[in-house]
Amino acid sequence: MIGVGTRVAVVDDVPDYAETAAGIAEEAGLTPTIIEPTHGSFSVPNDLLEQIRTTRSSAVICDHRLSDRGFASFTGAEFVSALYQERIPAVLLSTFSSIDDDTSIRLHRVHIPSLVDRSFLDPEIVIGGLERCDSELSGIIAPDRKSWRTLVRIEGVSQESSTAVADAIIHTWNPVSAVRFPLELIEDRAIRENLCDRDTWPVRLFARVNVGCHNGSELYFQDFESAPEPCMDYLAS
Amino acid sequence: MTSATFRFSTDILQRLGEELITGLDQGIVELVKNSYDADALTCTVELSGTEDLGGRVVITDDGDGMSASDIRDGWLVLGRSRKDPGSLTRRNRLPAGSKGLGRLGALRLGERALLVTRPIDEPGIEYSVPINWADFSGTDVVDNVALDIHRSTSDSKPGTQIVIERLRSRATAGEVRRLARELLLLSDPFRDPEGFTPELIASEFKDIEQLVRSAYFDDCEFRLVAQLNDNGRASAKVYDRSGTVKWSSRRGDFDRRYSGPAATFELWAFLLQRKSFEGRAATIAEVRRWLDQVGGVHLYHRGLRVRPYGDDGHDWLGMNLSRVRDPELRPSTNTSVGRVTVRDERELLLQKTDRTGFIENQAFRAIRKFAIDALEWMHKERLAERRERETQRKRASRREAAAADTNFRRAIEKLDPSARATVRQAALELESARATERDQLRDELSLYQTLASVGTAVSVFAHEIEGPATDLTASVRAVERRAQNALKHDYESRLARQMNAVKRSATQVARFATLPLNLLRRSKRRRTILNVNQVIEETVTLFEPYLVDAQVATSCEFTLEMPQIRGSVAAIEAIISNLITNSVKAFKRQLPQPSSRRIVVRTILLNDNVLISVLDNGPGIPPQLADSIWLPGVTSDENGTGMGLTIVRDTATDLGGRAKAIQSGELGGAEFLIELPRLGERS
Repeated sequence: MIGVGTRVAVVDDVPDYAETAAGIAEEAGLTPTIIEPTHGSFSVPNDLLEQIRTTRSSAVICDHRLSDRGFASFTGAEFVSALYQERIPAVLLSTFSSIDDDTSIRLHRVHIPSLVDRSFLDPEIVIGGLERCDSELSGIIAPDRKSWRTLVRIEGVSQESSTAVADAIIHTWNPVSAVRFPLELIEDRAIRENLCDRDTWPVRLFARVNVGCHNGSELYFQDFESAPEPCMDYLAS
Repeated sequence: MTSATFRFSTDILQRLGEELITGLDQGIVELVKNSYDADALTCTVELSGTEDLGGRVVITDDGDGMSASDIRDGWLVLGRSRKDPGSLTRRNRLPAGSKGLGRLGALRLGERALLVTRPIDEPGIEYSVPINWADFSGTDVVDNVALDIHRSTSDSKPGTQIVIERLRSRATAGEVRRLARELLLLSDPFRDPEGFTPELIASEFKDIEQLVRSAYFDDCEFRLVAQLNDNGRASAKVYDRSGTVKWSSRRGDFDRRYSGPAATFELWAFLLQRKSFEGRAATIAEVRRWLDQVGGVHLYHRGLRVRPYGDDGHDWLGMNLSRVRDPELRPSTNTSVGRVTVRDERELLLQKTDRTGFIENQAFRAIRKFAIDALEWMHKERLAERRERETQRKRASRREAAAADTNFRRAIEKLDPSARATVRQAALELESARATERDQLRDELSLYQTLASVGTAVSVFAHEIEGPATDLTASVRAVERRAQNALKHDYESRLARQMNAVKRSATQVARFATLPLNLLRRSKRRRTILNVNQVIEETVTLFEPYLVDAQVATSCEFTLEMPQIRGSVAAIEAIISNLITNSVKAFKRQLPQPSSRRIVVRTILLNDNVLISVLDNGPGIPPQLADSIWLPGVTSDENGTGMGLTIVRDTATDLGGRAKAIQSGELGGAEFLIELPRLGERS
């Protein structure tokens, strides 16, 4: 349970930003501890998790970009996802225009119930975000986080920075706007490679997607599988 | 003192057998590998009744067979290979080093198994071992079940036969096809120095065999051959279709030492285009079908293929993902076939217990890195070749132009004197018009290049400023909350005004910082079906802080129907943002200033087109610029680039539409009309 006095670890590679987040957590009645690397940078999420455990924190506020200044060799999204699997509630902080939403964050979005735009950070949002995550960890899934098996129409693949990404229309969510996600989310290599190597589009797949969410950046994808091509015979009749 | 030993529950047979080797094909291949280790030349796999439960598999080889001690101390011992993995067999093979777990998995595919073997060293003698797995279910530990080794005489040649009866599951058609492919690829169909040919007696085998053995290697566009020597040093060559060396690696191309066993990587890459197959015996369709079966880079360890490298869906060198970056010059698993061969005398590569590839230790990583580096090296060479080709093409076109000019002058000289003067004059005029056009294009290009550099710099700075800007917003609000708590009722009178001003500035900074990054998002450049209204609305919202700052009231008047076009978000943004900034700049130089500044962005449907109009109540288009307003570099703003409207016009043309300007429009100021082809209801 998140409440007054809950110990919360603040993870950010910029000390000033960490101070801001810690100050806001304090305002929210939490007891923040800013995490600093003891030996160079954190190379794996588990090292950071171990250090957080020493602070006896039961929740975490974590920035997404941790490697720009050499704080860690992984992203905040990857770490928050690891915390989720350890059943530790966390809020991931990101910046408004960040392209990370579609790539490095989307990759772990299934395990990130609370993503907060850093410029909107305030005590209520911190508490709300941690409670949302805590609630999901205890089995209460909000309607906008519940996933459904749905058709995903892939419109093409391309490269964004160093990540191979796909653009897709999910009709059950929004039939007009394409959503971008990293190809890595498709576990089946055969499907992935087939997408990388083709010239004709679209390709239809099935996946579990939280189509009840409002904003495209909240979408997560899992369990991709091939979908049969639609029957077009009626066109001939 | 009493002594005891580890004993194994019969459950362990299930753990090590069925749970490690899950498929029929995988189990059978493990037994075929045993035949290879026994120096067999042929190995036949026969399936009968396997489409239903209770079927039968018979694997027969003409190898060296096993003596009673081989059976007792080797074949029946799990977890250890009796053969020395470092020493060569009679046929110069290095044993594949099976530890017996795959064999156990295969034998347990059925309820009963029978081993019949005739050792080469005991002519006329045959041993057989029947195994009934039901015997193990009634007892606690494995050792309680005795297996009898029967000895008899036989006139048959040496070799081994394994019969697995009453199969516990059906073999699907897919499994049989996989098995056929696996057997064909097992002993390296690219070459066959070891002379080992496994065969499956099933109709699927013949079809796939024909396909696999088709071997279209001669139709490849180029072949990469890379070597990793015993000292961990790599080198590579690329051959063209005629077998001539195109490129050889130089010192420093592979600047690292690889900590893995010696290896050879060969890759045949195909250009599956109609043009490259003209005049050849093979068709693209045939090569595609063949690559469908054998494509990908396979890994051969000690003469036998190791799964799953090169299997469908196992692109262990990441070729397909790399290809996304440069489809023209990078091969994929569907356009190439290759093999990495490793003898590995020192056993540096360790197979996983469940036989699904190697443990990713340093040696394996080194082999993979070597192969990936070889592909990267080849890609660099191909890039350099393409650059060189482009340079040559430019030179050639310059030469051609010069030659055409000379020919033209000679032709004029041949004309009669009266016509000569007229043609000369016309030629001069033509040349002058072309020169003007060239200069214009050059200016345009130069301005685009400048804007590209500005764009790059803006993107870098925007990235840098984004963090502090967003933190500033959050911090200012935190200070405000704390001040309100500390000052209580005095806050409003002592700090509220100043704090609101700081908050507004902080918000402004944050928005301006994020604006260029938003415009630069790559996804916006993707061509797709767009709702024009939506993109315009988002663009206007993006520019809201800029418009508010400039005291401009902006409104959108959209058609109620959904105006869809095919294009990119970036294209519509380019049109709207340039027209908006154009209006704002016009307001700033307007004298006298209007009482209020207004911009209206409107969409209407016009037959098959969408008409976007951007109107303002500014000073309108200066008459002296009316004809040249779309030209690059023409501007009434001394700080402007003069590119904004050129970009608008070019973008509209790219989208299949056109742009028009009205000097003094409906609101009194400039009015720009962009007409774009609309997608029909069913497009």
